[in-house]
Amino acid sequence: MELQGRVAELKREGLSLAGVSYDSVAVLADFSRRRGITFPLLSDPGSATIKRYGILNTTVPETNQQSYGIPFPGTFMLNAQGVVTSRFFEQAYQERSTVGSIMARLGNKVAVHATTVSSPQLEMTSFATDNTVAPGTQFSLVLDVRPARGVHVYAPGVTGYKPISLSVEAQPGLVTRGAQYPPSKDYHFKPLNEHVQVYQRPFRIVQDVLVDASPQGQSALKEVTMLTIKGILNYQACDDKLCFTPQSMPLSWTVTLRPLDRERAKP
Amino acid sequence: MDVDRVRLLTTKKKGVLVSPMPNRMSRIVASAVLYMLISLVAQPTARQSSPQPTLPDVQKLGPQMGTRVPDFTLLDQKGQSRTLASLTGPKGLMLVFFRSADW
Repeated sequence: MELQGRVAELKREGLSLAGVSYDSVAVLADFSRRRGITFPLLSDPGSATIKRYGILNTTVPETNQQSYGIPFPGTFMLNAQGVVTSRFFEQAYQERSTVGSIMARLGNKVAVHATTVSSPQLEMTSFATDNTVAPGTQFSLVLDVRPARGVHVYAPGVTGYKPISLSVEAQPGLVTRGAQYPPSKDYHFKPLNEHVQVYQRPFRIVQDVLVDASPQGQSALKEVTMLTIKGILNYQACDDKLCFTPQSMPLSWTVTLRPLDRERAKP
Repeated sequence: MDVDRVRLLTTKKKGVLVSPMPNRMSRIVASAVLYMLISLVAQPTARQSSPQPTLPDVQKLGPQMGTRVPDFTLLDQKGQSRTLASLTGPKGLMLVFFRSADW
């Protein structure tokens, strides 16, 4: 379970971690023993709490004895008062955002290996939030961009300049979601009395990627043990005097793919 | 020199204007494309008739941003009774609802 590996990281942020499922205490105890899980896994018999939270998976018929009672899987980030500060929910039960992906989307540091590339205008650090992924894993490709002093790059939607855009090459077995860009700031270019949306301060682009758990996705990923995802970052950097030629920077991320865990608890 | 340049431009222009396929051929391609478009449009309508469980918008389910979540008392894997307060760290709690540890 990816969660266990993130406990220390969360603790450094002052956060604790707990999981809830409809499983019995015995099943959870066995699961924790097998996987070395030390954070609390809570048993919600009859899915009473899941129902009270209003997240029972209603697409599962009550007649399906094994599956009835599962929630729509998701994560709530709560502050110390129990108030939701952010939430991450997936549409399908096989899909779940990794803690790394959630931390990245919240703008936090993620303890993974990153690659940094520098140009006179920008410093870029890129990483995947997870080293190992499985079918249904929703993880993120992250790009931390730091413009040099006095340099700006153009935000998505800007015309007349080349706006920054991260595109990821489509490949079978991988579902890519739209890249998420942070809010930009207005830049007033006095010589032309021009207002344009830019990034001048360090910012983060997050591209969520899902390992396709559908049968088609699975057949595409058969025998695959390493996933290399390629992308391109297009941008144009300018300072208060001149604009540099638009750049296309090739990027690549490699993650290990492990098969779906089918091991069952031994009651 | 200037004449040559003009000629070159005209040739280039002509090159663009010349249809890459004979007329009839392009009409066949056009009708094939049209057919594909129609079948693409037609397909979802056909699919709708099969009984698929409607998925609710999961983003609207459960406690929303800025609201306090319901408290609970649940047993953990060690059989200890836990509440929100007993689980929460100094800055908060990441509460993960997962499918099952059993399958």
